Amino acid sequence: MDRGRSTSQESEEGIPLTYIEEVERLLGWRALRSRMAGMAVFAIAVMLAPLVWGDIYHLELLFLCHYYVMLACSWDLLTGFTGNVNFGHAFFIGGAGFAGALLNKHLGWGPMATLPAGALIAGVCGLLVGSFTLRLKGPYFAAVTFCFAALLYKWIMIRHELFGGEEGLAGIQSLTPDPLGNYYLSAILMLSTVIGLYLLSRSSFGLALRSIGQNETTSQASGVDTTRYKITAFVISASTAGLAGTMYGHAQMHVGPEMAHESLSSLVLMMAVVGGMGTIVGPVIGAYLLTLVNESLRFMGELRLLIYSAAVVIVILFAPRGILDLIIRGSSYLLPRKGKMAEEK
Amino acid sequence: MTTFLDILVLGTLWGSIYALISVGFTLIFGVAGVINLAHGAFYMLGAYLAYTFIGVLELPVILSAAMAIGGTAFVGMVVDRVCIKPMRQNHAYVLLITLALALLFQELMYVFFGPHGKAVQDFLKGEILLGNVRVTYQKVLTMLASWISVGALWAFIKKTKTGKSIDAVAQNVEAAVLMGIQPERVYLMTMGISAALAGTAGMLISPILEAVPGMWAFPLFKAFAVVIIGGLGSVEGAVLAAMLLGYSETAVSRLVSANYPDMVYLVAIILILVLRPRGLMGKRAQ
Amino acid sequence: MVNIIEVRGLSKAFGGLQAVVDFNMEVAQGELVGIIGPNGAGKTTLFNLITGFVKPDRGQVILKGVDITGLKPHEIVNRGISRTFQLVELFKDMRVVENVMVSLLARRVRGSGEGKPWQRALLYLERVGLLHRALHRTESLSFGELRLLDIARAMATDPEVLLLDEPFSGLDAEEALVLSRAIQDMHALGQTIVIIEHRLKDLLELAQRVVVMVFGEKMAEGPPEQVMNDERVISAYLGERRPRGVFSGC
Repeated sequence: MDRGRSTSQESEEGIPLTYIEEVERLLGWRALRSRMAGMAVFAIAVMLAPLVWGDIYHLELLFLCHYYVMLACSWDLLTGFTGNVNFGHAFFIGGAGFAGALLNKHLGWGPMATLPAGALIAGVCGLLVGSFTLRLKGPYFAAVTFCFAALLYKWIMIRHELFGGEEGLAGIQSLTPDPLGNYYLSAILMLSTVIGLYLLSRSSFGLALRSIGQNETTSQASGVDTTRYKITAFVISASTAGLAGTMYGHAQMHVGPEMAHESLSSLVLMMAVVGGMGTIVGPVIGAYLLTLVNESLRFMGELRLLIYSAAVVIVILFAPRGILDLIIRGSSYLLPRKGKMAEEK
Repeated sequence: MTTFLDILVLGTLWGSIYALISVGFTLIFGVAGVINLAHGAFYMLGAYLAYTFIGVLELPVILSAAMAIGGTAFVGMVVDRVCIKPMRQNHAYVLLITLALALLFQELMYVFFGPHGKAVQDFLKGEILLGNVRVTYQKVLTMLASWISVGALWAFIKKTKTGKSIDAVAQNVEAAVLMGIQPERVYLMTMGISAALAGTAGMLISPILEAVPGMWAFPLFKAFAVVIIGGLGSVEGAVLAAMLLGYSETAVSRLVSANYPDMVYLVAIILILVLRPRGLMGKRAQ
Repeated sequence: MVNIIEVRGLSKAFGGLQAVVDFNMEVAQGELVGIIGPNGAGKTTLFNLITGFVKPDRGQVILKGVDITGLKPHEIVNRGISRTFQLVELFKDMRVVENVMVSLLARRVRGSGEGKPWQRALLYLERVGLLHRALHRTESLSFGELRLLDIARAMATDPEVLLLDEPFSGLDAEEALVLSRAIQDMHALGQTIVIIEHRLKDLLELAQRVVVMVFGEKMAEGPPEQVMNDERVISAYLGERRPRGVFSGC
């Protein structure tokens, strides 16, 4: 359809180059560069951490952080962006964890095989569940995800001859021969997850997801196949969680029903919320923070969980967009705003 | 025959309790669009307050009951004002803050009362015999009190002026505002009523089940199920669904296996959402 | 003249209420058609039926000879019909330019055109005069600017037909003028436009043809002058006779 002026003419005549430059600076590759630099610093820090905290206790603690980062970030991809609250993340974590354990115990598969298998199984489950449920509105989707996780948990407990009942399955092959190996393998998986999901969130895929979260009707009216995007995000979310679950099972050499319990879903959710939903980076902060705080409060004994849950409530009340948002807003007071099209606040 | 009577009696008991728990849950949703995941925590609060007043302080039952219900209603209103009101329009936020509150309440109860179950004495002693089934007066009282409470709520909403203002806001907030109704007041009041109903259920249950810090979870899940099956926002639907759930669970427990009743509501949710998402009597299109 | 859109026998009832009754309409390529009618006449429902947000009970919607009845909204957008909304919502948490960039994700326009997505988006903003607001947060826009942004968003999917739902409502005189000019410019470039409007003065200056909808049915149709002097139309709107020439917008 001939609409008259062509694109390249416009950019010479119609739009001042300074506009384009500024938009590019905020939305284009340059904006990404500074974020990626930050990621690189983080990655280096993670890789070098064992030099400072090289004892078994710390290595295992940080492994736990890696695990929760993967869980929280994967959860965030769906819920933080599209607004569909997933209350059953443990379905994929525990489901893949047990699947990997069973493949290992009965078929002798090693971690190099069970890790991708766990991710794949979780992804397929995500596809099946998502296809059924993502066309439901918000609270209904939340309820159904919860139901699937709860049903899995009950099934695991009922079929105790298969799943080991309350005690779960022990004697699973180790992830790597030693805690240092576990640390580095989990670090690689965690960093791949974070960087991969972050780049995804900054891409047009992420834009589509955000548009769904803010106004699904308008998004559809803009030609976006919202259901397909939601399902895709759910599948990615599920398989990443499954990967993490399988990894965890091997590292602990044990899987238990608590990996499919709703309290794990809640815990992961809280990490993402406290850190800052919808950012991928926020959940990283939330996971590290809550895991380390939880550990450091151990000395408080019975009051530990009380302080922990009170802190979560306070953060949600006073920083509803999470700690990441607090950091960003705090630092924006320190850095001056440049450019013609400085935004209004 | 015994089994049938058993199912009938127990099913009615649990159905009534589910109805009492769920009616408040669906009410606050229908009126304010709030899915209050702390609803189960109010139930828990009612039970623990009953234990404190009756069991520990040994106050008279009627007084304790009133204080337990009033206390729960008060907490509910504080939660609404402080936690929900600031970002009421953001549904995901409301889900998350109420969930966080539920977890906080659990820990508070754990710290104050410890992990072991706290039992309350039956309000009325004795039992009657229906056929071969023994029914304690407590259970009968619980059933009656549930029905009276639900009935009172219905009468309040349909017949009184204040109640009608709640109904008005549920149907059309803007129109209600034009009629001079203040929505925030209605939301606050509705939350108080909702919490009071949950607290009443908790208080009535406290002699039958022990009070434990984790007891907020199951009524929340059941309420959620009932409300989805009955239709979000529909009080009549909630009552119907509650009774259905009560009977189904009891039937499954007696006829199939004791392992499975807890899965009935989960399967029911999934079935309803696949077959008839708006529920049996759902009216509010979200 | 080629008919881009044909609506045949479209009907929709909600509960007991017939919102749209056996509605027939054609829109030819390049036309600017107005749809008017009292409140509750079913105009927005008609748009919802055409754009797939509501499924009709009976009838068909045909786009360039192809039956698109009952397709999902995003599929209809990708076939070439875009619409704006009476209650503009947009993506509040995004910047203005990102709102338009969402439309550029549609299969229909994805990867076409030159330049990065934000460059293409800037062009659409420029056409509605919002270029200077490109990086601002959507929530900082005025009501009139939000309307224009909604139009830019809809235009970015390169539609065959653009449906505007009460674009003038709530605008002041200056904003209405800007909007009117923007619509005229688009029409001059060949865009087919259908506008639902309640503010008759704004609409009658733009429309080549007017369709009158009352209680879900088409009551009258024709050039603006003719329709506005139709007795039935006058009484449907005002409930009484009015002298000629005194007819001003609501």
